[in-house]
Amino acid sequence: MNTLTPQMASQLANAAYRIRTAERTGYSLGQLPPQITKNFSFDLSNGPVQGVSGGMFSRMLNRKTGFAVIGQGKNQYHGDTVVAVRGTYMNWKTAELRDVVTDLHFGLATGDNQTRIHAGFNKVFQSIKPVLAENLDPLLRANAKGTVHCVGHSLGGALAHLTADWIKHKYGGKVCLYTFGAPRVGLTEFAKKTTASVDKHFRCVHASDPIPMIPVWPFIHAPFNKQEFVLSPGMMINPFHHSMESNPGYINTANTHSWEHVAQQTNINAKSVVLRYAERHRASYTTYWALRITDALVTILKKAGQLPVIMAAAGIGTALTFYDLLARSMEHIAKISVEFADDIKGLLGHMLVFAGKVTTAVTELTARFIRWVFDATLGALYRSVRLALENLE
Amino acid sequence: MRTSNVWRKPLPLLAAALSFLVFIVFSQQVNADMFSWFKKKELQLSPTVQGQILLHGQPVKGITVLRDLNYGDELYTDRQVTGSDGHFSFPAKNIRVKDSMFDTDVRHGLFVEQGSEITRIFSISNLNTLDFKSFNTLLKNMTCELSNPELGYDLEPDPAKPGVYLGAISKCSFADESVVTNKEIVE
Repeated sequence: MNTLTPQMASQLANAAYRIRTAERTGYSLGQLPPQITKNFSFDLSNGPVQGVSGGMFSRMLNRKTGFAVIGQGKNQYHGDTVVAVRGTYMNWKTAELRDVVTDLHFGLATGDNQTRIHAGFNKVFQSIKPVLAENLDPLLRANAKGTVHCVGHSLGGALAHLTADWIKHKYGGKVCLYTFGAPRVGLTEFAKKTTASVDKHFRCVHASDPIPMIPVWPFIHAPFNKQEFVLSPGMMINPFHHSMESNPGYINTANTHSWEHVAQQTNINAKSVVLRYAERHRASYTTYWALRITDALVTILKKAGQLPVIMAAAGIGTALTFYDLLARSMEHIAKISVEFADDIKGLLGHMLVFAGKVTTAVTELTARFIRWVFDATLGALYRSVRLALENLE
Repeated sequence: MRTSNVWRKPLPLLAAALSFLVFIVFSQQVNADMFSWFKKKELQLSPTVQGQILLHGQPVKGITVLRDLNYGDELYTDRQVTGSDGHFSFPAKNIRVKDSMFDTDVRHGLFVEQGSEITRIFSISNLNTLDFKSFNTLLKNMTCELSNPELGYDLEPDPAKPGVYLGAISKCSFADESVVTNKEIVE
């Protein structure tokens, strides 16, 4: 099975931004790097695959923009197909990631593989799916041998993920997925199912990029319990490290010919983690601690036998009611034993330090206080990104 | 009594208030880099462009050349009519932009308008900026033979951004092609 090199995948994710709007003489991908033109050809005479995204304003006006471009393989990639989906474009009119970034009321929808996924991503994907099918039918119905490579950065990564999963179910054949700085797409069941169906998934992140950290748990990254590719280390969360082009820029950090040259780390979803209250000052505003805190939360729920109940509720509710329920459940668990109470105190202490509330002590374990700590933690995580969005208006 | 004391010493109080403010601001220094998007910065969308339009080797006079500069949804269009020797020129174009964590498509296109027919003579695009040495060098002096096919130009990358590929599509040839690493006819 052919796979794209990190360089090719990132160049394609980058090029996909060019088909958002047309130039005076029509849609054009412009001059592409030699390693792409040598192996793939693109026909934009009928325009790109268009879709509707963004807030209510865009949807009401059915404001369509170019989202994806389909290429046919040649030479080494003969028989293969590539689907490149563009990333987020932000201005005050087209707030494409706003629903995800700023809104804690996450909505869930049932996706094409019958699992719960982010409603916003699903909505955009459903708007591009008919045109994708129209373009892919003639290519994939007759040719089940080639590999389909789905590529995208940011929102484009989430859409490429849904595209890959859908292509696998609709057409069979081999499907590879390459994402850069993509947010989480669905809950555990989606992550597990898509891990089993997509043949190879190269999920690339910068450790300091906040977008792959949202939406927060119970959203889970795929591939489930498999490796992610960390193209750039880095401690503190920095919104600018989300960019494809600007320093460090995924296009620079992925500028290599082999996946073996890229650092990998295996993220086991929900490792068993217990956090001690006395050690809370070790926590910091980093990806590492965001993950560790999530793991500690899940560990407590598991130990108390509450995880199935909470996960079932996650599939139904919105984030607001979900975190209310979680806080009430934590209060209940704290009353079961001193050990549980200690675990929860340790978790909340670390959350407060992560959120910058270093001096706030955990003195009570009421649902109200726990909920307040959750809000502070989520607020801190979303704050930097939210500020970046508000500044665009 | 206390109130009148305060009003008798407005300067020390003001200084104290100011230093408190300064302390607050500087104690947030950690965040300063991260929040530098509040600053606007100057961005060059186009350097000065100079060129000549030819058809079958003869200068074309009185033809309209359009320059489209895109920054995301913003489009800046300039028009120039060629002189008797087919020459045209556009001034440099700078805009002020806010830094963003999200990428913006930037495009530079030159077109020739003959009645209702529009022909592309130069096009290049990238994310966030096109202000690179290779691109600026090309546009200093270009000769566009309208009967030529479109060529794809691979340009020298910027050492600071090794992954950023720069390539243009154009019917033109350039006085200084030292920054061109390869050119061939676009299929």
